[in-house]
Amino acid sequence: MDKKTESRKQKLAYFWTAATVVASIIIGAGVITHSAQVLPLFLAIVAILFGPVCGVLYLMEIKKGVLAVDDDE
Amino acid sequence: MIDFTKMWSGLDWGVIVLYFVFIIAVGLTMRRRASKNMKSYFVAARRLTIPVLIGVGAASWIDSWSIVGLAECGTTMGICILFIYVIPNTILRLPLALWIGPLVRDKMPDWVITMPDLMQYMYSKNTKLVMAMGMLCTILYEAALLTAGGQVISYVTGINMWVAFAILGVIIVLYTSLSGMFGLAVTDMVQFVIMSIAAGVLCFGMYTHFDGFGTIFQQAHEINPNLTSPSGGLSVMEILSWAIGAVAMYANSQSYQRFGSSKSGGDIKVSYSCIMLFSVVFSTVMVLAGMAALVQYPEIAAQSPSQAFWAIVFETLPIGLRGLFVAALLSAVMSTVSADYLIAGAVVVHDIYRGFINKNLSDRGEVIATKVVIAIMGIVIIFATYFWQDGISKAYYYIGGFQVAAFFVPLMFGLFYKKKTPAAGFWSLLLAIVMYMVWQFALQCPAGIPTNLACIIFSIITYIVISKVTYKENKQLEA
Repeated sequence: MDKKTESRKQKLAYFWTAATVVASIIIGAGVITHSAQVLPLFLAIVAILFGPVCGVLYLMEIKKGVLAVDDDE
Repeated sequence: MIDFTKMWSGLDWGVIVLYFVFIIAVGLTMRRRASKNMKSYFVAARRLTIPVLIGVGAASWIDSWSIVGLAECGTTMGICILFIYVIPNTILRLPLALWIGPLVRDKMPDWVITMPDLMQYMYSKNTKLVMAMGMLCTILYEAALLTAGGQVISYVTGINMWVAFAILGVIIVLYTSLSGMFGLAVTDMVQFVIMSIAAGVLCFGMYTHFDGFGTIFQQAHEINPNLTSPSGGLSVMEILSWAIGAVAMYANSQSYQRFGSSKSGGDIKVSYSCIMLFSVVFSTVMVLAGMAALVQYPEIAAQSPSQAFWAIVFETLPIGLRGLFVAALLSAVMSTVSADYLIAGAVVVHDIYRGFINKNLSDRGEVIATKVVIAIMGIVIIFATYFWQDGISKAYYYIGGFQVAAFFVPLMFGLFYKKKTPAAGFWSLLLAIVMYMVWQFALQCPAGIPTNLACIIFSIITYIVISKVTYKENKQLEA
């Protein structure tokens, strides 16, 4: 695994960590302020998109052969 | 009592049948890839990359408690569960994603594939044995999850509860034993996508049904002001107990098995930080659904919060999507139970039988024996559902609490404490298990101090004291 790829993954991980913290703040603030519109729409959109987007990326990985069998293993 | 069978349509049946057929088909098609050796069977030859890891990680973490359990908490405790459990849970798990998971994957030798293997690597073979025996106790949790799944099938279809347990249990055994982690890499992903869509659809359904969430908060406040208070009127000890529960994942065998399946530590960092984001959103939807159930059906919620939850699901979702939501719950149950069956099979055959009884067992023989053990264990678990007939709410408290109390300190100190010794690992693990039994069942939590907190403090003290005593001795012996 080359250093460039690892450093890219590190940056991506920090990005998602920051996104998680921001989402927690939005949820906390939304619940305390009894948000009627923003909170439910935020939750619904994230939940409904998250799985399918991962599913598409997953199919791309499968095409690359991540679950293929190697005889030399 | 609501008659859910009247709200259950042929289209919902179709969704469930299609789901079951797909899961079994995956087991059958993936079985050849998983049959080579234990490394391919248990950790998918360590090849899983980011999107695949997100699917397997999220699906194994989200169980029926994350859906029905959190909804029940929303009904009975209100928004405080978000502030004392869901959000702290998310934040406290981030180090697991960013440091501990990658460390376990990148720094451990290739032969370490199970959590008892990890204990042997960090401490000794004796510690491995104690860990393996301790992990077997946690298999009772699977019976509780199976109970939750079977009850839902029974509620909505009207079939006998035992038949539902048997159908669900046999399907899980079939696809898990046939295809191992390779199969779970496919089924978990599908189950994760179903759970994600179902949560989003439920949130939209509630949004349109109540015309925004304002009514839910307002009416919940009128029923009981504590339901809309961040602390929920709980005592400091109760809040502390919930917050400590958040570290359960640090001692969760599924997490370590998933880390071992990944291609690299970098993949774990990205995948698990993504899972945290999904997890906080998903959990919040379930808590708010529980509150919506209370507002819509206050009388039913007072008697049976889970029934009120299913009532709100069926009222806000159209036919077809109800089937999808039931499939989501079954997905949550099946993905977690299948992961634990796989782990239990490996503990019995790889860690105990091959580790201590028959060291000459071949790789292929080990895989076959693991499949047989999974099948036997699956049948035992179906019968063990009998113990949870009165409800599963205590399952997480006892078994999740046991995992944290017993495994947390030896695992974390083994990874990060520089002066660790085999004796410290062995005794802190063994004595923490004894301490759990004494504090929880004999003393019944004196002074209201939660068992997991008492055990963690006790285990840390034991570990440090024994390390201090034996560290120099070990160094002299090594020299």
